[in-house]
Amino acid sequence: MKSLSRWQGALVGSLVLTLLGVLIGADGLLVVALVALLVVGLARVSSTPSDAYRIERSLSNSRPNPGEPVTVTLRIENESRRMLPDLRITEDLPESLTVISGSSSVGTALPPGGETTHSYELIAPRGEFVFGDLTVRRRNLASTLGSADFVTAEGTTQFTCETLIDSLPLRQQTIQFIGETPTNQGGPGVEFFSTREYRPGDPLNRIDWNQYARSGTLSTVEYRLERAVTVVFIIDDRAAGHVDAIGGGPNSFDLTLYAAARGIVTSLDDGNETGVATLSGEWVAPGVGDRTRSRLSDVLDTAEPVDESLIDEPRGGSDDDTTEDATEDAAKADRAVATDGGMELLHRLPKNGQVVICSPLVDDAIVEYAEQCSSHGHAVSVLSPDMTTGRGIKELSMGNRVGRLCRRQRISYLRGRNTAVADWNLREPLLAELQRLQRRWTT
Amino acid sequence: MSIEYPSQQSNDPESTVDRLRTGFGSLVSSMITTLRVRFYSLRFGDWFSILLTLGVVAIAGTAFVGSTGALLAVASGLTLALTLVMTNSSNPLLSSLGVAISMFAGVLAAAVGGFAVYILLQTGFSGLFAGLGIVSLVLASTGAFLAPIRSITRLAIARSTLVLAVGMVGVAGLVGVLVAPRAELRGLATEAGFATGQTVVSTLLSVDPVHALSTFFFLLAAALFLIGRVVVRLPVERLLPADRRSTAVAAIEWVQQWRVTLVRGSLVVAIVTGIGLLLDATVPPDEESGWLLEYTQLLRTEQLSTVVPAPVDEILLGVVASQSIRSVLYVVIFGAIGVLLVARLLVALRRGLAWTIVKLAAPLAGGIIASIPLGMLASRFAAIELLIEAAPAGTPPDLIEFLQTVPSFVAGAVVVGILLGLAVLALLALGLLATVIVLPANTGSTALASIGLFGVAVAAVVVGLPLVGVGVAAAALCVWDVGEFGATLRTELPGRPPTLRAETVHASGSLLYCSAGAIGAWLLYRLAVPQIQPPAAEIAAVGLLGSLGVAALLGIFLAGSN
Repeated sequence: MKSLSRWQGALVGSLVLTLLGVLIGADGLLVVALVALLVVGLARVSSTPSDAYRIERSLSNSRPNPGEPVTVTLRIENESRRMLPDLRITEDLPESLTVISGSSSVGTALPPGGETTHSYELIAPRGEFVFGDLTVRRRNLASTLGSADFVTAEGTTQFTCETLIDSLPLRQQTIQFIGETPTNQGGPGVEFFSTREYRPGDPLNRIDWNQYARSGTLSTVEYRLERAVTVVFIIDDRAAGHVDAIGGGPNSFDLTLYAAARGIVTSLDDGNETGVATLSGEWVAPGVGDRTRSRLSDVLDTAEPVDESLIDEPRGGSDDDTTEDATEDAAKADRAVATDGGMELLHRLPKNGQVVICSPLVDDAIVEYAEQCSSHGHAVSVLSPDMTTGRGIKELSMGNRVGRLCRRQRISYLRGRNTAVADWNLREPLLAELQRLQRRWTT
Repeated sequence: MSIEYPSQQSNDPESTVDRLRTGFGSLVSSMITTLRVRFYSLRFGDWFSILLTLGVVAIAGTAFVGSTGALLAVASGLTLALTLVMTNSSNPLLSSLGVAISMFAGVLAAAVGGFAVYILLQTGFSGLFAGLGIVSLVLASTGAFLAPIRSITRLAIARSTLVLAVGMVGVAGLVGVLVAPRAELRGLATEAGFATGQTVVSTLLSVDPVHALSTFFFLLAAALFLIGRVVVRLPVERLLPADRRSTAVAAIEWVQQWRVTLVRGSLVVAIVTGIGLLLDATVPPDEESGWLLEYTQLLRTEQLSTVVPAPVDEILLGVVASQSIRSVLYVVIFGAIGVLLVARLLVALRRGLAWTIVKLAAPLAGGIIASIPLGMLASRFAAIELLIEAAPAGTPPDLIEFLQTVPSFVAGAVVVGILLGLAVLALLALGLLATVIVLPANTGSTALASIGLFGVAVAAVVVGLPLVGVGVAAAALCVWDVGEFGATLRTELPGRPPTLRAETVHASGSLLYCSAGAIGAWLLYRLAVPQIQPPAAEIAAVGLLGSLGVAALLGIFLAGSN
């Protein structure tokens, strides 16, 4: 327990007054000096604060999605029979966590056996986070004695904010996104498409009996033909193509990755052959099996923004590398080497394969790349998180305002070239935006 | 034939008005936002300290100098705080307004100062403490009103002083513009200027025994302080080879530390001797104060030489009463001020010419614009006649003649300039206090409020209000305790975490033991002191010295344990 220096001024004042009182013979000055001495003396005899307290931490969600607020609750309990007049608690949060509501610190006083709770909200980017020790400063009633403890809180000490495919709520995927794509051809399916003249051999359950009752002619109902498609999600992982969130929280890369993961899960769930590529050279060939799913998961787990200057180095294995096993060789062979602004990736894309570019659209390079994909005959969609969501014009800096305008222009430009763009407003569920994307895509 | 576009024809006046309206709206909005942020940042402890300080100032001030005096002190504290805050604002419009507000601060500071001097002249020795009590009331109020700002730095005070000085230049410019076109007035103004200059120079170089000792130490402190500021600005270490820089920096730091100590020492000597000389000059010799005057008169240089032993007296008088040394000190002071102003200007220009012009134009405009209505008011209430009547004996006749001749509005503007000068003096006094006492960085306002209340307590017991004095002393300690507690909370728990419960508990505890201390001290005073009847003066002296020793030991023990 450390003594705190708070009363030197009062002591010096009392000594000066005593001296002055003696010099000029004013006993009243001695009384004032006496007040100061008595108060300092009483403050000095204030008892030491107890160290019997307990702190427990709990989280509203220990596996949140990026950008999803998490409520952290601290329960503080005084286990002693003495009052804790001054308890100052500070959370040691990892730097990347952003407190969006409340404060991660609290100052309180607790009666004997009493308890209190303190809550605050934070948002986290992708990753695993471990809460550090709590810094607890205690003082006595007069604040003349104090100590600092570093305490590990009971309860939750870590949480994960992830985009793993397996962890996504598949049951929520109630819409069709890319796979089982409706076509403009009639055939077996669910949605009514047209009727045609009956041909021998047509199934009985597709004969329009109502038409036969009215006109006496047989006709066959055709439904919209649905076919599985091949989709490649291209993730814009250029460091220059991303921005930090305004006011903290997950950056545009985290949100882009999250959006891609949701899209991939939906696509796989619909039975589409699904692949993923990054502009820095990661490549997973379209597929539907468990192996593909596993490799997609690996890419999403390890993806990081890459400085474009570092993309020059080919990341595929050499031909004479005999130490790798056959599986790893295959994986390496699948990797496209994006040393030319994604041109090689364009050549690797399967014919008639559809492309979903996931990018915040903060520069023109990605727009040009979308056009190139389109010119190679691929149906292109863009899935883009809006990093200025919910920010009023006054909250944005001049640079942010210009950036927002430029991004809107890029979206308009792409839409004008028959490219479907899902402009994901972060306040709305991603699924709603995916649904809009599908609607635009099929029309 | 010039073509006038319809948009230009119709929209220009409107757009100017619109711009002004928008600018004013922006100013008001900015002020409201700033105030809201400041007030929102106040915690329970801050509100407690503010309300307790103002409450005690109101109650004790009323008991001490009446309700008018208390109101005067509170208003003076408010205007001084507003001046300090607004003239430090980065918003040019706010700093202009700050110059206007400072005129009221000047009026009120003059009123408080005049009141204190009046009491001193009326009541003699105890009047000195009464006067200090009134000034302490102002300090406590200023501290309370500065609570949202928290820190009172000398840099901020210097910045405000500079802004007000520029405002004075603006007022002087206005007077010059009004006087210059009229040849007669111009001649009178020139003569008055010369006469005033001569008087000022002779006063500055005066070595009158009535003030020589005190003014010398003031000058010494000012010169040392300004030299230190200049040395800080000069990149001395950069002029040296790299291998000698660390030595040079260490030497400079050592010198600076001693310089700071010398400045504080000189100021303390100057203030103490100044108070002594003030008493000597103003207190009428009677039975009550005769013993004191025997000592205070020794502070006059001609008396000092009679008690100081032989070689020392000549050296002391040779230094303190030397006009040439004073001249050197003045050269150093004004030279350093010039260097600092040039350095400040260069720093400002680095931020851009437009920025510099705006920063200079704001106080100039504030001084000119505010002097128009205030000058009219001053002329309407014949303030210049009052000023002439109250002018000291040494005022140059040319100046008085000029002031009597000029139009009333010009005279009013001169009064406004003088009020600005008084505000500058009030700020300098605050800076002096901040230098001597060393206000803590993050609890400057709390410390100022507490020191002010303690001063009121001292004054109250000396003028015969011991109960008020004890109560105010306890309140001063409580204000410090709660305010400092809030500051540590703010430091250790940044942001705005919930701390109400801890602050409430601490404030309750603080009230409890400050009240206990006050009651204990009062009981001791009422019960124990009358029982002590020393049989002889020598025994009383021994007893007092003994109690002083005990108090010192107790103080050292408590300081050590803290």
